[in-house]
Amino acid sequence: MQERHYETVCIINPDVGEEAAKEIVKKISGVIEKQKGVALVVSDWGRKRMTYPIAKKTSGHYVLFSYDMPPDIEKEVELALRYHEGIIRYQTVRVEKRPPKKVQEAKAPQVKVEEAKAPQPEGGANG
Amino acid sequence: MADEIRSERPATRPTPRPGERPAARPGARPEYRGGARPGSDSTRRPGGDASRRPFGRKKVCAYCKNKELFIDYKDARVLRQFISERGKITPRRISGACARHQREIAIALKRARNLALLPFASSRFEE
Repeated sequence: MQERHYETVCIINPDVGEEAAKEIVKKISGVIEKQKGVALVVSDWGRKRMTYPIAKKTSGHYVLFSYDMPPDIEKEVELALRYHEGIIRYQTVRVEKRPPKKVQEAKAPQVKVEEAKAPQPEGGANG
Repeated sequence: MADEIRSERPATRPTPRPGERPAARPGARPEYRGGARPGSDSTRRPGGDASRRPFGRKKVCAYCKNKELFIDYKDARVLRQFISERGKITPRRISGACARHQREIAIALKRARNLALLPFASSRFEE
C-alpha cells in the first residue's frame, strides 16, 4: 500500500529521567522502523511547560517523530505508544502539506535532530 | 419603509442599508459581509474600498498574502495570535483569515491544544 507521511509527537513523563527518556525514544524509533517506517526523523524538543496539567504533571519532555509508513501499519505504532507508561500523551497526525522549502531551511538549524536517515528537516513553521 | 430610506441615500454610503438584508436584525451591528452590493459599481480589491467601509480597511488573510507561511500545529508562538486571552479561537472577522486558512488554523489550534502547547481555557480565569 502507498506510504503516507506521519508526524507523532509524544510527551514523556518528566519524572522518568534523561536516561529513561532516551530509552523510550529508542524504543519508539525501533517500533516505527520495524513497521516499515522510512525516513524517520526524531527531534527532541526537551522539557517544556505544558499549558494545562496532564497526568498531574505541569511540564513534559516533548519528542517529535516524523516518518513515512503505510497506513494500515500505523496502528501498530499507536499501540506501542498507548501502552507505554512513560508516555503521558501522544498525537499522530497525517501530514499532507509540507512547509515550503524556504521555511524548512530557515527553521532547521533551531531543531536538534538526533538521528536522520534522510536529510529531511522536521516540519516546523515560523512566523 | 425600506423605500424611504433608500431614496434619501446617495449611491456610495459608508454604512450598509438595513433594509437590504432580510436576515439582518434591527439591532445587529452594521457590517459589510463581502460581495458587491446591488447597485454599487465596486470593483473588488483585496483591501476593499475605504470610502465604503465603516470601520477602515478590510483585513486580508495573512496566509493568502504570503504563500510561504505555513500553518503548523507545532508552532505555538504563531498560533497564539489566533486565540483570545481566554483561549478561544478568534473568529474570522477578527483574525482576518480567509475561509480556507481559518479552517486550517482551527485544526492546527486544536492539535496544539491536545499536546498542551495551547490552553483549552486560560487558567488565569479558572482560579
